[in-house]
Parts: sequence; structure tokens; C-alpha cells
Amino acid sequence: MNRLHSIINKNMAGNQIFVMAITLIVLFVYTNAFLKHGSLINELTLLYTSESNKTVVHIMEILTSMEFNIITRFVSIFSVLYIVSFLLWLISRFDLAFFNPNQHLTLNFFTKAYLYSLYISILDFLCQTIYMTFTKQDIPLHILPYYMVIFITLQCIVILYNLKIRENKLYITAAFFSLLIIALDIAIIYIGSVYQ
Amino acid sequence: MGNLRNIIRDPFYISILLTTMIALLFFAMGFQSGLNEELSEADYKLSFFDLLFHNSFLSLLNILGMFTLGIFNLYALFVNAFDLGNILNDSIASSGFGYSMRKFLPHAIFELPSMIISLAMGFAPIFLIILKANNFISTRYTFWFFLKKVLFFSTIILILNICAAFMESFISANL
Repeated sequence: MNRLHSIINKNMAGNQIFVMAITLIVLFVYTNAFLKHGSLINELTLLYTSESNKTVVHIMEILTSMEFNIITRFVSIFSVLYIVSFLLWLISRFDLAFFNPNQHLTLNFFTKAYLYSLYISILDFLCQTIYMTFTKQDIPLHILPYYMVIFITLQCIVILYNLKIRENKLYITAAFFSLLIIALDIAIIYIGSVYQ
Repeated sequence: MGNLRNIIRDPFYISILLTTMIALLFFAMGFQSGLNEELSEADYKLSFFDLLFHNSFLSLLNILGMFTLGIFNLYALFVNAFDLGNILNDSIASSGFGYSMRKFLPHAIFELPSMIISLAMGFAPIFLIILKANNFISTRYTFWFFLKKVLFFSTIILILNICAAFMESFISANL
């Protein structure tokens, strides 16, 4: 019984179906709060209540629906997982060629490394949900870019930790990915400052 | 059972299957939306080569959508399937089911499969990555094998477009 328990505990966190299920539940809770208190949704709702064009109203209804918001977020989270993992896997070819020619790293190894970082995304959604539920509003625009930067950087750290850079000699991959994240962080802060 | 396993392990077949399902969903949404968009008469007055060029250009755009990893294709799929449901709903409401089907079926019998296959090709790279990441794909799926499949499906799309243009310009217009 103990052994079974330890197997479940050991594999559960890295199981893709489990992470998908957890993400779906958290997204359901988050979307519920976002549709009630999100400023973007409120603006959209105000916009389309004064709109007479049936097509526009119908599209707005789809955009502000629960299903649309959950599906788009879920699909984008897992698409990014596979795209970033594939990108890292491609770059790791250079590392393997230069530093570690005898080693073979599969795409699955990178997907697994990214999968654990999704718990940071889940934490991000939970924090936003709690904030919106208690304050009845979105995270303010002057804080949001820094909040996003913190969670993206945390996610990057988890991915790099799971890749075991020193052990697998993934130096070029780590450098490229860190640069990519720094560029993304700067872009978020810049765009945030422009649209305040 | 073996065939089913091969289908769900092939990025092209699985993307065709899923594209068909999503297209049906968007079609149903468009059909019941009640927006009643009318089809312009100009669509029935194009020549064989105009139609072939027009459809092939759109198919090429859909195939090139694979470089956007299917984002463009998702948009194109929504617009096309939603509009199709919408137009068919209006046609049935104004001209009746029999007349609408007589106009719609010859028009769609080649064009719809061509549209679905070309849209599905845009999703193939992302499905290839997903299947590869989960070790579901066979080892024969190399870069060149993938390109061969792209060429194979592009040929099928071109043949379907020729049939659709022939049908629309010579048969559908005279019905």
C-alpha cells in the first residue's frame, strides 16, 4: 500500500493528464472570477450593449463566454508547452554537438521539464483569482507587467533547474533560453509602461 | 484496430480528423447564430480558371499557415465554417431545404474536402511535435518523410480544386 502510494505520488506531479486536469479546474475558477471582475470583460460588455450590429454582438457574446475563455487559455498553455519544448530540443542539438556528442536527449525530456513549470502558471492563476475575488477588480495596470515578469522568470528558473544544465551540459540552450526570457521580460515592462 | 492506431499516430490524419470535428462545431455555431448573411451573386459568375486560381491560392495560404503553427488556420477555419453555416441557414430559410441542397452539395462535394485538408495541413507540425513529445510517432517520421507527406496532400488538394472549379463553373452554375 505504501509502495503504491509512493508510486502515485512520484509520478502524479509529472503526469501530463494530471497537470491538464488541474489546469482545467484552476482555469474554470479563474475564468469565473475574470468574467465577473475583469476590466477588459467589463469594457467589452459595455461596448456591445450599445452595439446594434447583430454580427458584432454575436462575436462579443462568444468572446465573453466562459467556454471560449477556458478553451483558448487551455489550448494556448499547452501549445506553448510543446512549441517551447521543441525549440529547446532543437537548440540542444548544438549543445550535444559541441559538448556532449555521446548523449541523446529526447523531446520528451524537454516536455517533462516544462510540464513541472506549469505549476507556476497554476499558482499565477490562483493568485489572480484570489486577488480578484477579494478586491473585486483586476490587478492594476501599473503592477501587472511586474507581476507577469516575476511569474515568467520563476517559470524559466524551474525549467532550467529541471533541464539539469551542468549534468547534461546544456550551456547554449540555457543561455539562449535565458536571453529569450530576459527579452520577453523587457518587452512586457516596456509595453506595460506605454499602455498605462 | 491497427488502422485506428496508425491514424491517431499520424500527424496528418489526426489533424484532418480534428479539423473536421472543429469545422462541424463552427458550422453548427454559424447555422444556429441566426445572423442570416446572404451569398453574393458574383460567386456564381466566375470562370473555371478564376475559380481554380482563387481556391488554389487560398489552399496555398492555408498550407503556408503551418509556419504559424496553425494560428492562421484556426482563424480561417472559424471564418469559413461559421460563414458556411450562416449562409446555408439563410438559404434554407428563404429557398427551402431541397433547393439549398441542390445548390450546396455540388458546390461543396470537392471544395469542402479540399478546404478541410488544406486547413488541417497547417495543424500538422504542432501535432507532429505533440506526438513526438509523447513518443507516439513512428521513427520513420523524418523531416524528408514529413515533406513527402506535405507534397502528397498538396497534390490531392490541387486535384480536388480542379474538380471543384469544374463542378462550379460547368455544372453548379447551370443547376
